[in-house]
Amino acid sequence: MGTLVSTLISVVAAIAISGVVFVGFNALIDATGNRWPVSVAGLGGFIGMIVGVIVQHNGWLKLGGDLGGPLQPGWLTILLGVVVGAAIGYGFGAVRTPPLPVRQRVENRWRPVAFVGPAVAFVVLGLVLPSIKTIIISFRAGRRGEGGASLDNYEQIFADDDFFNVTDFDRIFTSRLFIVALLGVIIAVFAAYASASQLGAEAEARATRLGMRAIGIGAGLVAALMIIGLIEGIARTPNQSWIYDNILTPVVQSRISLWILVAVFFGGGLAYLARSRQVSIKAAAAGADTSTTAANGPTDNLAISSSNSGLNRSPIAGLHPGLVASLGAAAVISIVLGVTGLVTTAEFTSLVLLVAGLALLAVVLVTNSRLGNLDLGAPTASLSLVVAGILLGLAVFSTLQSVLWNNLWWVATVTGLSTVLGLLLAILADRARGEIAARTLIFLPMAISMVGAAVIWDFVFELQASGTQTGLINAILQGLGFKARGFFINSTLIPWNNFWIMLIMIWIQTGFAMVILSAAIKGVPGELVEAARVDGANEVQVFWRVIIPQIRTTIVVVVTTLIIGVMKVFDLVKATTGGANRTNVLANEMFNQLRDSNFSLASAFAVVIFALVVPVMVLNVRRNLRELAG
Amino acid sequence: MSASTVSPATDEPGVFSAEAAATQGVGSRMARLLAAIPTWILWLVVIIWTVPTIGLLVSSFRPPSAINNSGWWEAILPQNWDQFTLSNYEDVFAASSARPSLTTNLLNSLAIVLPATVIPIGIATIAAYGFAWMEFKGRNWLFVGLIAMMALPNQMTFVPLIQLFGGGASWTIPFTEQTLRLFPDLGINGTAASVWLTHTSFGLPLAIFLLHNYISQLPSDIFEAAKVDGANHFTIFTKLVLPLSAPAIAAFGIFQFLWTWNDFLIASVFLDGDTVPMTVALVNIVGEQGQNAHLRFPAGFITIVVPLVVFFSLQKHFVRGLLAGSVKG
Repeated sequence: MGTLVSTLISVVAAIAISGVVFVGFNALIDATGNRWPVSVAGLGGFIGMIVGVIVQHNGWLKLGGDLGGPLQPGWLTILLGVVVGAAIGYGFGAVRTPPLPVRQRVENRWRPVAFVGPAVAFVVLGLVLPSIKTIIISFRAGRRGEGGASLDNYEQIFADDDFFNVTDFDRIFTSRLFIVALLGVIIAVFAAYASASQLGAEAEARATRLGMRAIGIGAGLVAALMIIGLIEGIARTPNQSWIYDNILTPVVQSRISLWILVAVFFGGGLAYLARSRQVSIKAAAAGADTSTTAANGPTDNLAISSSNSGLNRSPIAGLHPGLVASLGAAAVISIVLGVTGLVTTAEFTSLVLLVAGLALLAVVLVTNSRLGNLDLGAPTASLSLVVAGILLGLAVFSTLQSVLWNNLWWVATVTGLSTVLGLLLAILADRARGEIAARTLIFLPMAISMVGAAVIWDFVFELQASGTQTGLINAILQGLGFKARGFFINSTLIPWNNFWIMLIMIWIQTGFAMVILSAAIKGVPGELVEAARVDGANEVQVFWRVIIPQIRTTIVVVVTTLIIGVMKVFDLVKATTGGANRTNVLANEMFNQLRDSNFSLASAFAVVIFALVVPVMVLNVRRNLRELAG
Repeated sequence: MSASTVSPATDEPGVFSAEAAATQGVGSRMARLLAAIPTWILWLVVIIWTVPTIGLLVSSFRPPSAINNSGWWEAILPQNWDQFTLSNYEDVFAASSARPSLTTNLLNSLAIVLPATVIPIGIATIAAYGFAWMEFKGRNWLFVGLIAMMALPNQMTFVPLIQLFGGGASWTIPFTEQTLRLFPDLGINGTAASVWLTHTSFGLPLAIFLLHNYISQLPSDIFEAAKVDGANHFTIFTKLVLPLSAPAIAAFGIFQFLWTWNDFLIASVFLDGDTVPMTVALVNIVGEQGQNAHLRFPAGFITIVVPLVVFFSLQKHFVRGLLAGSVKG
C-alpha cells in the first residue's frame, strides 16, 4: 500500500508542478503583447535556473543547507540563478520594447514550444537519444561497451549458427515442403497458360472430367485416412492398435500436417471448379453469353481477364479445365510422394526442377510468346503461387532454424495468418446474425496480456506424463487414438513446436485484423458493389476485384502494424519455453544478455531487431507524410 | 439469414448457394441450412477462440487434486459442482516464503499503470493541439518524426535507460579532468518510477498520433469564432479543445492502460523482487511448478480480469481508438 500511496503523491505533485510550469509559460508568452519586460524576465529566470542547476550539480558554488527530500543541498544556488537571471532579463526588457510585429513573431515562435516542447523533449530524452546510444554501444567491444570501436558483437551474432544459420542452406532443396512448393509453381504456370490460351470445347470437357476424377481420388484418399483414424480411435484400446502399428505409424502421423496442407491447397481448386460449373449451368440455362461480363463499372479492376482474351470460356477467369486436370494430378502425386517419403532425396529434387523447367519452356513455346503473356493474375494461378510461396517459406524457416530465422518465421506466419483469418472472419461476420457478439468474443484476446495468453494456451496444450490428459488438445488426441504429446517443449517436434507458440499470437492478433478490416469493408461504397453485380460479376469476383482493391491501404496498415508487433515478440516465448528447444527469438536473446549484464551484445541484438523494423518504419513515415500533404 | 439474402461476400466459402440447391430439387430447408454455413463457421471460430479462456476460469475454482486428475470440462457437469472452491485464490493471496502476497503485485501494477496512463495523456493532448492548430517551421517533419517512433522496438532504449536511471548521465569534457553532469542521478532503478517513465515515452508517439487525428478534425469555425472573441491558444486549448477531445482521450487512455497493465518486458527489465507487477508475478508463479502448479490459474485469471473488465465496459472507445489509429480518414 505504501508504494502506491507514495507513488500517487509524487505523481500528483509532478503533474501539479508541470501544470504550473505550463500555465506560467503561457502567461509569459501572453505578456509579450503588453508587458514585454515580464516576458524577458521569465526568459532570464529560466536561463538563470539552468545555469544555477549546472553550477550546483558540479559543485562550483555551494550555497544554502540541506533541506532534505527532493530539495538537494545547494538549492539556494539555483534560486539565486533564477532571481539574478530574472532581474537581468527585466532590465533588458525595460530598456527597450520592440515594435509590435517583432513581439507578435516572438509569440508565434514560442507558443508552439510551450505546447509541443514537452512531448518532443520526452521523446528525444526517452527514445531518440537512448536509441542512438544503443547503436553506439553495440559497435563497441567489452561487455559494457567500455572498449573501443569494434564489430565483435555483430560477428558473434552472425557467425554463430544458433543465431544465424546459413550452413544448412542446401538442405532446403531436399525438403518435402520445397518439392510441394515447386509443384505449386508448376500448377501456377499451367493455370496461367490455361488462362491465356484457348482450347476446343471437346478438349475442355475431357480435361474437366479427368481433373474432376483426379481431384476426387486425392480428396477421397485424404478423407479415407481421416475416417479410418477416427473409427480406429473410438474403437481401440490405447496403444494397442493394428492401424497404429501398420498404417498410422508415427512416420505417417508426422506427415499428416503435410496432407492437410495439400488438402487445403486442392480443396480450393475443388471449390472453384464446383463454383464455375454451377455458374456455367445457370448461364447456359439463361442462354446468356457469360464471357462478356467485363466491366463498364466504376473500377478498372473489374476488367476480368476473360474479356481481354475475348474467349468463350468458363466465366471464372483463369479456371481452365486443363489446369484442373493438372491440379488433380498434382494432388494425387503429392499425396503419394508425401506418404512414401520418396521426395527427400537430392535426385528427386533435381528431377522435379528439371520437369518444372521443361514445363515452363513448353508453355512458353506453345503459347509462342513471351512470359509476360501468361496470365499470372488469374485467381487459380495466383492462388497456387501464394500457396507455393508459403510452402517455400516454411521450407526455408524450418530448415534454417536459428534465432534470427525464427524471428522472420514468426513475422511471416503470424502476420500472414492473422491478416487472412481476420479478413475471412470480417467477411463471415459481415451482416451475420449476432455479428457484434461474435466480433467482441474474437476480439477479446486483444485485452489479454501475452503472459496471460501463454498461461491459457499452455494449459490447452498441457501434457500429463501419465493418466488422464487434462489439457484440451491432448485429451482430444487421446480420444481420437493418437498419442498424447508435448507441443511447446518437445524435442521430436522441432522445428514445428515454434508453430504452436505462434498460434497463441495469432489468437491474439486476429481480432485486431478483423475489427479494422471489417470497418474498412463496411466503408466500401454500396453502389460500387451493386454496379459490379449489375455488370454480371459473381460474388467471388466482387470480392477479389472490388472489395480487395478498395481496402488495400487498410490491409497494408494491418500488415505493417502486425510486423512491428511480431518482430519484437518476447513474452510468449519467455512464458512458454523460455527459448528452449530451438524456439528462441531475438528479443528473448536480447533479454538474456541484458540479464547477464552483457550490455554491448544486448545492444547489438536490439539493433538487429531495429534494423528489421526500419523498412516498415520508412513505409509508415512515407504514408504519414502523404496523408499530411493530402 | 434467409435463403434469398445470402449476403454478398458471406457465401464465399459456400459453393452451395441456396438458389442452386433449390434448382436441384433439394428441399428449401436443406438449402437454408447450407446457406447458413458461413454463420456456423463464424460461431465455430468464436467457440474455439473462447474455450481456452473459459478453461482457465473454470480451473481456477477447482481444487488442485481435481485439476491434476481430470479435465476442466468435467467440472461443468452438475454432479461435480460441489467441487468448486475459492481455496486457490486464498492460497495465491497468502504471502509465502517464496513470494509476497499477490495483493502487493496488484498494488505494484496500479502504481505503474495509473501514472503511466495519466502523464502521457496530459503531455500528448497539448502537443497534439500544437501540431494540429499551430503554424510553425518544420511542423510536419517533427510530427512525422515523432510518430515514426511508434515503431521503435522497446529494446532499443533499455541499456541506456538502465544506465540513466541508475547513474544519471555525465560528460567528460575532452582534454580536461572536468566531468559535466548532464542528467541527475535519479536513483530510480528498480522502482515503479523507472517503469512509468519508460512507458510514458513509449506511449507518447501513439498518444500524439491518435489525439492529433481527432483534434485536427475538429471544425475550424469554432477556433475562428473564439479568436474573434479575443481568445488566445491557451484559452482555446483549455476551454474548447480539452472538453471536445474527451472521446479521443478515453480511447488512448484505454490503450495505454491495457498496454501498461499487460506489459511484461519493461517491468521485468527494470524491476525485481517485491516491486514486480502482476504479469511478472504470474510468470514467476508459472516457473515455480511442482506443488504450486495450480496457483497459475487464479493468478492468471486475476491478471487478465482487470483488462477484460476495462475492455468490456469501454469497448466502444477502444474500437474507435483502434480505427482512428489505423484507418485514417
